[in-house]
Amino acid sequence: MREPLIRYPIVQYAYVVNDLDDAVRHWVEVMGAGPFFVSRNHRGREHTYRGVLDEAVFSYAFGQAGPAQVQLIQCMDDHPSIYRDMFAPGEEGFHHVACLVPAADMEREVARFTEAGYEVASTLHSYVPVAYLDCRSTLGSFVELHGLNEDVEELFREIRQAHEQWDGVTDPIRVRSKSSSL
Amino acid sequence: MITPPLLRHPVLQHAFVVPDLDEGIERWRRVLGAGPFVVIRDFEGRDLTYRGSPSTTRVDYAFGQSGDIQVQLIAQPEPGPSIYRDMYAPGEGGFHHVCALVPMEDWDRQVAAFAEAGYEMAASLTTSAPAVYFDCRDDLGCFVELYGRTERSSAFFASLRQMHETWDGVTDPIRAR
Repeated sequence: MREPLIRYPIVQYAYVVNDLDDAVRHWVEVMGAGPFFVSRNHRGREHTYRGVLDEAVFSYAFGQAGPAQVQLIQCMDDHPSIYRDMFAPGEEGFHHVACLVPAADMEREVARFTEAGYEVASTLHSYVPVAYLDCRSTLGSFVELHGLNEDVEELFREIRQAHEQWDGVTDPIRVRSKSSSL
Repeated sequence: MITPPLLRHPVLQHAFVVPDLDEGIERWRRVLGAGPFVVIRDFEGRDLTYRGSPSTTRVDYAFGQSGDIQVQLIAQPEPGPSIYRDMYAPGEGGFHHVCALVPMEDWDRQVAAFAEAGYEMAASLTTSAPAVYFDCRDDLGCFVELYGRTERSSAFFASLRQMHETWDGVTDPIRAR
């Protein structure tokens, strides 16, 4: 039996949504997830889609729900993207799981996926390199490998701590000074 | 104006429908390192209901761990109906529900909160603890499972985590309960 491709845990579950504010409200009011840190109209640095540089714009919301982080993503234009690969305009649903990979191990980890036959569908730079592997043929979803350094660790900690200290109602949408596209 | 959350207990499981349980386990192990998986085959939930009527649809379950999060895989070899067929035709698979453990002393209140908010109880059953599934697809795109937190269910979830933390990712990926 072969070794798993990755030995770093899943830390985030991500969903494509039609309207970021509606989706945030539902995840707060139904599931008690949040508060959500929102990054609107974000254009990923060095963002590629299927190997080509692309200027697609997305809005993101990140919030904690128990041990897992939830990410909500809204496409802000008609560019092709890994989100449009699964959901046409007006459609929404579960899109990817994300694992944090220590930055020094990132290149090797991505290579393990590509050698196993998974295509790098998208890349960008957010503090550190980020890669999205198209694993729909086996898992039904994309897998995000996000580099891990101190900034990223701090961001995840901040989102988790905000959740643990939260009453579920006050300021459900927050803006973080440092922008990110986790 | 935002209203207080219906659920005040953390989401601790994400569940996926797979066309074939063994193939699903191998994919989640091989790609993501989830596991080892505790497998329960041909399971017929006690007092199982689907959309308010008694049901005898059997399913195969696999429970595994990835980091802090538990992963459940579900295969349904028989036709149904079920909450799984509500989303996926035979041969299809994908994300299906999130699950939260609800302490039994808060159970009645928590279940009533979802029902009063207008979410339909799509299925219910009893294992070592009660389980109910609310159809939240309109708002969240998935079902929400509430599962009773008892000593036994807590111990089971703790054992999955412990096995995962001491596992090499290869040895005995499927375990009996």
